[in-house]
Order: sequence, then structure tokens, then C-alpha cells
Amino acid sequence: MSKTALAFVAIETPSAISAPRGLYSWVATVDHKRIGILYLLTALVFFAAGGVEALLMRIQLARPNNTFLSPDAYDQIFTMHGTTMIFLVVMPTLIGLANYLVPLMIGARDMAFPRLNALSYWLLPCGGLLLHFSLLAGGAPAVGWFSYAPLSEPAYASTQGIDYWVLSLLILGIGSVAASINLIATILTLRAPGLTIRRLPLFVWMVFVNSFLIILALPVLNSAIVMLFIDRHLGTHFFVPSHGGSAVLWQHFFWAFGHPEVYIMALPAFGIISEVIPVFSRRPIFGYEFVAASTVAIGLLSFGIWAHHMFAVGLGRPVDLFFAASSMLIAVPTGVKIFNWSATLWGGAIRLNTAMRFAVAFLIQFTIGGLSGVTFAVVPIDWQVTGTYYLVAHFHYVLFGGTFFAVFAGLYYWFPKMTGRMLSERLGKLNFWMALIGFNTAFFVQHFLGLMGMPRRVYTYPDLPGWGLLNFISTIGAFLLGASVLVLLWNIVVSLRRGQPAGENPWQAWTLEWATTSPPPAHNFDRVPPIRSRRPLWDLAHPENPDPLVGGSTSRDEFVLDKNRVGMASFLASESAFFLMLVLAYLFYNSQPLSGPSSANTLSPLKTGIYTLCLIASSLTFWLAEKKLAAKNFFAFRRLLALTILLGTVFVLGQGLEYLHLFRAGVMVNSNLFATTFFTLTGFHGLHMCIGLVALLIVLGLSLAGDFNQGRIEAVKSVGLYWHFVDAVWLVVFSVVYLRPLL
Amino acid sequence: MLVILWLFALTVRGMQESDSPADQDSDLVVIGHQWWWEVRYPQTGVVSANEIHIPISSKWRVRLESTDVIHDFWVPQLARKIQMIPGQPNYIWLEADASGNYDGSCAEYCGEEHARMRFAVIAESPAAYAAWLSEQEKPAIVPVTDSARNGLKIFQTMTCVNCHSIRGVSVSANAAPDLTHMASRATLGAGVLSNTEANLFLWLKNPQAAKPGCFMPDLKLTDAQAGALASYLETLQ
Repeated sequence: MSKTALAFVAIETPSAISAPRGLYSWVATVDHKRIGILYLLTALVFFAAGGVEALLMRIQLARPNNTFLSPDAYDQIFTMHGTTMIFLVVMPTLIGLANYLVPLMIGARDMAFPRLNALSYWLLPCGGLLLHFSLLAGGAPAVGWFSYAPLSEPAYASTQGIDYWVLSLLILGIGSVAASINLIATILTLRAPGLTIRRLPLFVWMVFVNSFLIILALPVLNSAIVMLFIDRHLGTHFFVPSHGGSAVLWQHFFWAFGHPEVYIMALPAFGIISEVIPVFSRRPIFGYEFVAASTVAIGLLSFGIWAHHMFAVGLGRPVDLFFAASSMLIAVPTGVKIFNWSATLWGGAIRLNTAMRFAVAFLIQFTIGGLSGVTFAVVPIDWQVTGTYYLVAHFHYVLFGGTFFAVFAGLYYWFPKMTGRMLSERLGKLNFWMALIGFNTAFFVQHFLGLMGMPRRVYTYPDLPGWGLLNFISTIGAFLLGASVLVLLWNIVVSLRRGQPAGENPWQAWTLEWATTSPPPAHNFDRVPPIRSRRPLWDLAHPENPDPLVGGSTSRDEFVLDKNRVGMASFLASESAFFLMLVLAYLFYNSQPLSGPSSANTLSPLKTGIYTLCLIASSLTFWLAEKKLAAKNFFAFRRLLALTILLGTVFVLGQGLEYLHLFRAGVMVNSNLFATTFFTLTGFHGLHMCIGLVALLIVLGLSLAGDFNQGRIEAVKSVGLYWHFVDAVWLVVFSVVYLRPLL
Repeated sequence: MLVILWLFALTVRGMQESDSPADQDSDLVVIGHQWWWEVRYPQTGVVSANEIHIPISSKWRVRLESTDVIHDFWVPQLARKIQMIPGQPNYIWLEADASGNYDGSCAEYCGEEHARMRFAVIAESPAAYAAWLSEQEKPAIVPVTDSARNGLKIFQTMTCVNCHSIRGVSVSANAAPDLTHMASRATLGAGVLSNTEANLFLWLKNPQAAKPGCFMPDLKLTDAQAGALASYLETLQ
């Protein structure tokens, strides 16, 4: 061990930083810790709403043929419950925790893009309020959180609830993607010296993989709901079977997002457990590499198993079998994790406090939810139990018994760091046992209800033998669970005022967030301890018995990445997923001949080909412009930049002329599915072109203002990446839409 | 991994036994509507609703369709669950080994009254099934009492015929259940009420009270009109 490796790394602290106070300082904050807390508080408000919705449903279902709620009210409530819990509670809670913890865990001062971080957060209350505004505008959506078409089409859902649902999810989706881009850039570029990828805390690992799932899966949802919105407002028929649309395509699109989403809601919870269990077992995690690698495996596999939500569709045996096999396979990496956590407990000096209790309960309940999950991969069993209360029981075991219990564990674990005070263990014990008994009472019996034939999403049920009793038991459990949350809130309120002071590291934990004060100062660290293993604080406390060096010396640390380029590349990956779905929709509807306008009889590949050449030329001129900028030839740079803008404008005008020509010929977006998919695909590309042109104009303006004379040219490089990307997308669109019929 | 391979083998075998090929004639067509089931016997032209009669021990091929949104046909004790998708018919096998009433329900959320889109499969001996079928093949009974005749007139003059069919009276519509032999069925409104004259009277007076959101409008019938109509419909054995 060299001397330099042991030295503390002092972090430069601007003298002007002092923690601002008052309400406005929270609104204006760009501090990742405050934003993380805002995320958590906002999620808590929506958790209360979603929880009350759950209890209303349980009152209605407490006995057969109950009339406490009207069918319409019940349908709105279960839709809002699902949407709220997934998009406004679980995701913000996990993103909020990541926001608070990741910079601390990697020894950074803040996220890579603090202002983008604030934007990501503020999109959350906007999206949440927009969704709930539907209540004032004719009623909440009443189609279930997966909004199956054609039930969600205007013919069957005439109120505006679904429109608010779509807009809200778009906003929330953009916020989540922005937050994830930020997390990726932060983790890749802002790690403290010595903190190599192989030494990252597992929570950071899981958040890292999770962020990739978010940036690739959320755009799939966005593309689907955009198509639904176009259907609802422009009279098109993407998902209207009576006009050639496909009801099954919606299911494919939704679940291609929906299944990765399940892991989006699980992976950070795995991360929490991977932090809590080792600390309270007083030994390092068993098989770090396996936990990390299995996370990556889950991330990859999660994109190939969506159709196991669709075994009741009648996709045919080969398709069903493929997805059955892939769904069974994903149980393997998940099982690896369960094994590693159990092995960490095995022989550990276990400190059974509230955080650890929740973690152990997570382990058992998540295993039950996982095992019932495997039964869905066995197609013939799925044919019986899908769409029933067995399914409701399954995903509540995964999401509440799993994710929420992990979040509770994390809350008891990190609350001292966030507030400087310990939560009461006495109230914590009460909180835990009530939650444990309440949860299992509420949901275990639902397995039996499903097997007895009770479908989900029913506002009432006939008085069949056993149904009333089991439902009543479930309702009692739900209320106990609700009461346990009140105990948690009480604990938080009491502990904030009178809790034991926590000190820097109350749990003798080993990761970097415990190396600073509780709560941490605005700049996080005065100095970051040396890092040579996965437990820097253990090494610090036990210089006589440090962990073995991980991954060789720190001098051959990873290459340095530029955060702007990483951020832009992540954003473009996300955009690619969005365009991929639009292209797939185009190919899906245009692979068989349609009556009416088609690519072959309305489009002119030659004319558009000329405009395409302009676009390719604009990429070339931008590339040359960048070279001139690097050579500090600012005049030539501006000239080439202007040429780029001109060529791009010619392309956009060309597209405009083509649209005009089509409109004159009577080809409108709702003429047929060719027109619908054509205008959607090229329209979104055109929108991106316009955004690109605005960005280029801004760059030109900045250049005229002399902004790049000092060599700060990251903005130019990022805009360049975007511009080349938009051009590349057009080449795909041109091949698919214009050239394909010529083949 | 071995457990998974074994599970997978079981899956393949289970699917082979329960999957139905798509390229044969069907013995039965069931069409999902918001929120009731149209039941058609293609060989005989019999049309019914919310009740499926089958003979025991014969394996029937069922074609499943939907006229509006996605429904899901599910009789837990007899067959797999399968979606009824507009524009894309699905097929399954339906077979009962023992006679009896088997509960069925819609298993895909399909709108406001998804909860009360229930049906029954009545499996009976081949002889009993044949007797039932020959009754169903006959056109509707001609009313004999004054009250029933009056009811028939109301059925024809109010808007009932726009949605309902009664073979022998008017067969143009199928937006709502076929009533040719409605008195032979056990429930009203796809499992909402048991089929008695008193319940039918209540239903006719205000369908929205019995099944909120259903597409049968409140026709503001007087007590006399509803009574006559109920007494006519309850003769349609």
C-alpha cells in the first residue's frame, strides 16, 4: 500500500457556500440532497393518496354485493391507485433515494447536472397534479393502469381522464429519463479518486443498471401513449381494430415497457437490501461480483420477457414458449441475489434492529412473490391465474412485500444520515410488526381468492362460498397495514424533534455517505477518505486489518469521461428507443398492402432524396465546423455553422412542401394507417429537426457572443452529437419509408 | 437450472394438451359484448346469451370474438383463460366430464360493469342437451293471455326491437341479448338478478339501478307497461 493511496482527498470548497434557509430556498434548490428529500416528501403525499384509494377499494370489497362505491367510482379508484403507486410513489421514492445517496456514496459534491436534477424533480409534482386534475375535468381515467386499447379509445372512454393520464405519464416519463441520464453521468464521471467501478457500493451498481432500464424502457411507453393520444385527438386508428388498427399491438408496446418497469421498481430495492444486510450482519456482502453481474443479467433479460403478460392473448405456441423460457431464465439471476443475501446473513453477527427486520422480511416476502412469479411463466398455469386475485397477490408481494419493505429498511437505515437523528427503535418495532402482519393478512389470502376464480378489477363479487370471508380478512389486513404507515409517520415526526443525535456513522457502516456529518453539509464532504476497497470506512477504522485491495492499484483508474458527452449519449440512447418504436409501428402497419394512400403511390423518393442529401451535407459541414473551432478559427466555424443551419432549414422546408402536397391530395393523418404512421414518424423527426435547428442557432449566438473563445466547447460537441443523431435517424426513416417500396 | 428445464418441459406438455388449432369449424361461437355474452350454435342457428349448454364428455371447439373491447373468456373448472379480441378470433377447447353448472366470468377488465359480466356453462347428459337444443330451435311462443299480448305490442312499439331479437317477432338486431327463449335462462343481466317476473319488472323499470352503466336505457315505462312486458317475456320458455 503506497502512501498516496492512504491520503485523504481534500475537496475544494467554494467559500460562498452556506446553507440557505426558508421555503423559497427549497423551491430554488439544486442541491441533490434537498432534491432527494423533495422527491421523498412528494412521494409520501402521493403514497397517502394511493393508500386511501386502496383502503376505499378494500371497504367496497369487504363483503359480497357491497354498494359502498359505484362501479364507476371503483374503476376510477383502482386505475388511480395503480398509476399513483407506480409512477408517483415507487419510482419517485427510488429515484429520490438515489438522488440523495449516489453523490454521497461516490464521494461527489453533487449530481453531474444539478439544474437538470431540479427540473427532473419539478416535473414530478407537475405530472402528479395533472393526473389528479382529471378529477375536476369529468372524472379520473377508469381503464386500469395499463389502459388496454380499444377500451382507452374515445369510443369507450369518452371522458378526458385518459388524456390527462397520457399527458401526466409523458411528463413523468421525461422527468424519470432526465433523472436517469443525470445518474448515469454522475456515476460514470464524478466518482472520487480510487472509487473504481469494481469498488462501487452495490446500491450505486443497482441504480446504475436501473438508470439504463429507465432511459430505454420509458420511451417505449412514451411512444405508445403518444400514439394513443393521436388516436384520441386526431381521429386516427392505431389501436382501433374496426378500422384496421391492432388491439394486440398496444399490449406489446405497453408490456415492452411494462416488464422492464417491474425491474425498475425492484433493482434499487435490491440495492438497499445489499447495503443494509451486510452492515447489520457485520460482514461484507457474499459474492459482490455475482450480485453486480446478476443485476446486469436481469437488466438485459428484462427486455425479452414482456409477452409473459400476454399468454392469454393467443399469440401461438412458439411465441408463448419463447417467452415462457426467457421468463423462467430471469429467475436464475434473481435467485443468485437471494442466495447471496442469505449467505451474507449466514454466520453473520446479526444486529436485529428495525432496518434489519424489514430487510429480512423483504427477503422472505420477495421470495414468495418471486416464486409465484415463476408460476406465471408456466404457461398453462398462467392461463388459469392471470387476471385474477392470484396475480394481485403476486405483484403486491413483489412491490409491497418487496420494494416497500426494502424502502422502509432503507428509511430506518439512512434517516439518521438525512436528518442527524435516529428513528425510535421502540416505534420502529411496532411499525414493523404491524406492517408484517397487516401485509401478509391482506395479501396472502388473495392467492386463494384467485385460485377460487375471483377476477381482478371487479367492483363487487357474488356471494360464493369462502369469497366473502377471505375478502373480509384481506380488508382487515389492509387497515392494519395502513395503520402501520401512520406509526411510521408518527415515528418520523417524533424523532425529528426528540430523536437521539445520530453522529456521523451510527451503524459503523462502511460506505462513503457515512464519512461526513449527519446531515451532510451543502458541499457533502470536507475531505473524502482514501479508497482502495469496497469498504473504505472499514479500512479507515481497522488499519491493522484492512480489506484486500480490489482491482489492483488505483493508478490505472478508468479513462476520464466527459459528463456532457455521457449525458448526451444517454439522452440519444433514450431517443433511439422512442424512434425505434415509431419505426416498428410503421413497419407493422405497412407490411401488408393497405387500401388508400401508400408510400408507393404518394411519396416521391427522388425529391425527398435530394433533401436527404442536404441533410447529410449538413452533418458534414458541422463536422468541419467543429474542426475549425478546435483550430480556433472562429470565423470559419461560424460560416460553416450558418451553412449547416441553412442546409437543415432546406430539409425542413422540403418536408413542409411534401406535407403540403399530401394535404392537397387529400392525404390526412387519419386517412388510413399508412398516413397515420407516416405523419407520426416523419412528424416527430421534423420536430427533432426543429429543436436541432434552434440549438444550432443558440450555438451560433453563443459563438457571436464570444463564448467559445476560451476553449469551453462542450456545448458545441453535445449539440453536434444531437445533430448527427437526428440525421442518422432520418437515414433510417428514409430507407424504411421511401426506399423500401422500391425493393 | 434443472428445475427450470423440468418446468419448461411441463409447460410444453401442458400447452400441447390444452391448445386448440385455429383452422377447423367451431361447435360454438361466443361473442363478448360490454357486458354480456352472445352465444351462438352455428350448426343449428340457435342464439342465446350468458348461458352455454354443452353435452358432457364431448370436446367442443369454441370460437371467441368480441364486438367492442377486449374481454376474456374464463370458466376456471373447464378451460384455460383466453382473451376475446376485436378483429382477431381465438379458439379453445371446452369439455366437461361431469354434468353440472360451472361459473364463468370475464377476466380482462372491460369497463364499468366488468365485475358483472358473468355466465354459466351448463353441462348435461347428451339426451338432456338434445332436448334443450330442440326447444331452443323453435321460434318464440305466441302469447295467449291479454297481458302477454299487450307485452308483445310494447316490445314491438317501444325501442326494444332496435337492440333485441325474438325469433318469430323480429330478428334484425343483436346489440343486446336474444330474447327468443329468455325465460329458460337462470339470470338477468349476465348474472345480476335471478330470472323471475318480479326481478324482470324491476329491471325493466330501471336497468341502470340494477346494473349501473349498462347500455339498456331507462325507457320510463309505466308500472302497467313494465308489468305487461315482464309477463310476456317470462312466457318465452
